[in-house]
Amino acid sequence: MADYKLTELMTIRCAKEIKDGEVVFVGVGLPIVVVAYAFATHAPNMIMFTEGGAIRATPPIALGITVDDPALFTNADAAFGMLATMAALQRGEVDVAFIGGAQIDKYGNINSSGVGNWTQKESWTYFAGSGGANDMATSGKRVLAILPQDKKKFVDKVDYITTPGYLEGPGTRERLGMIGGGPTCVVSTMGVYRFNDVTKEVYLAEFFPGQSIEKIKANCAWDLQVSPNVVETTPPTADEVKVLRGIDPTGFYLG
Amino acid sequence: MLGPVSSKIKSISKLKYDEIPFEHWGLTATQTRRITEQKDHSMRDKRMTLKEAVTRYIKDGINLGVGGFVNTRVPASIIHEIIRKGTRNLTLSLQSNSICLEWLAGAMLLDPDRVSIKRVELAWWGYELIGIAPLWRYLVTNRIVETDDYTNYGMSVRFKAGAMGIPFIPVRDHGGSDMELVNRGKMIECPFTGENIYLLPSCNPDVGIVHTTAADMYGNARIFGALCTCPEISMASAYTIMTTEKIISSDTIRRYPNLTEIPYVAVDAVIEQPFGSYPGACYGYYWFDMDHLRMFRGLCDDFSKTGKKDGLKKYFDEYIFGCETYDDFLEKVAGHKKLRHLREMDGGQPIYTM
Repeated sequence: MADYKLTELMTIRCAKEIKDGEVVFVGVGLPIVVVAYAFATHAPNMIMFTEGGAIRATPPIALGITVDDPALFTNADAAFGMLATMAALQRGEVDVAFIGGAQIDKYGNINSSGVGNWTQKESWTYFAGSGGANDMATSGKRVLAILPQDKKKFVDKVDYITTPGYLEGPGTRERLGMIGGGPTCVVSTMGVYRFNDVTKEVYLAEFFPGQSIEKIKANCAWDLQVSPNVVETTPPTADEVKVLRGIDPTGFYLG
Repeated sequence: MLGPVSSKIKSISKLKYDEIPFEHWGLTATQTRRITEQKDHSMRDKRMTLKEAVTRYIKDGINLGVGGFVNTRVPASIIHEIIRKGTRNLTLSLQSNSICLEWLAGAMLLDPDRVSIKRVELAWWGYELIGIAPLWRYLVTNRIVETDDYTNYGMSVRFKAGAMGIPFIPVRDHGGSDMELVNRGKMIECPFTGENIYLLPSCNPDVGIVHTTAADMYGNARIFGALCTCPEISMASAYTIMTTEKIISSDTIRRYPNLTEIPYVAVDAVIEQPFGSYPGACYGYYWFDMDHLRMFRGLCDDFSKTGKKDGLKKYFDEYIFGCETYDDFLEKVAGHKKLRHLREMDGGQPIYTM
């Protein structure tokens, strides 16, 4: 079995959610490595739209450190601004939107704005602001999320809803006029989750090697549903890890 | 008449938040139009020094629209001059930004009688992968500034509405998030389709500040790489100060009119300032100075953890107050070899200034 880091397992597993030929919308950070990896392996015809406004940015050489990094605007079909690619989200051109976060609840509502109580600022710690996550996850056809897991991160109610998932459950997005399909897959530091088509509740679909269902449930604040077909995630092969490390040779993203 | 519709966010959210009556945090689209109408729209040479521009347009209490995005093509040289001049009770409007805002915040924490920020309407304030912004966190947690929370697209289209001269703009997002509770937008029912749709007020800063790739003396500007909503900020603002890497001739601009992203009429002051976005990046010219960003961020982090201002004060005394111009700053902080290295690091494709 290949020697790999947790971030590498998460990245490679997440990349498998991207299908060849799809338009994927990314900000910056781990998602950009996921996209670059998908592009280098099973999805050479996927297309990257960046939050900063590049259409068909070139992933393998474009591990930018910020959303508007010049590297993300070379060898693209078009270099616009954020208004253009975000509008593309709204009109339905984006198949997969890819976000991170700090807290999630059982309906896939995600907090990436800050922790504490927004109305009592002395208890509120901003990460930075709400940024583009809400734009991506409201309007992307489907949404992938990647985030760390423990009991303070997989919570009953998030401190701040930056990005609505299914809110209170079935029908809520539609009632609100939210145009995109909502979250379909969450990759955490412990496993892979999907959403029940009827109840819209998240369930455990895969656990990572070295994890157990009990351990994962203990790191989740609500009574986590587990798929009857739950399986252990296939660990990455030596070749897969090699390709990934070629994308981020200094470990800037992967640690 | 259409009333606001409830999206039920109040029953879903953890927040107990009472709606605050709406207030413009700057000019309305109509007020901005009236100012624009009164301006001289003829072709004028708008070149001046940064000092002249900042003295003329930056007043206490204005809404300042900050261009660029996070660490890219940020109007760093203009902020540097604004801090040296001093200005109080600023409202800041921006999408996402880093060092420019941290500089202003640092100046305020050192001497609030010289520089102060009253409130911030934004999507994001941080350095992306370099880290969170320590002073921003400090300002919010200590209730020093008032904030209004939007998405990146939200702030972009607010400037777009301002640039179009209209008072609001509908968007598909924000609804169902806590931003719907806390920001000044409103959910309504679309009068044409009956769908729920979120309205955002236009953003019309008193003064917009942007840095561009190249411009002529009238203010017609080219931008390479990400546009960063700089065209919209310039057009939405009552007045716009523009620094540019290179002044080019009007003939050059007119040879490829499709390359013009900001039209001259939207611009009031043009200043040629090479490395005007340093320590940020400018596509086709230079990459970020990661070392400097990290160093300054480290000083801010020390302050937010210890409350000691010595490191920050030394930085400001040396690199901001100890400089007469941005060129002085560049020479002091970077020097030729460093700037040359940043030029080599730039991954941008060729830019056209011919």
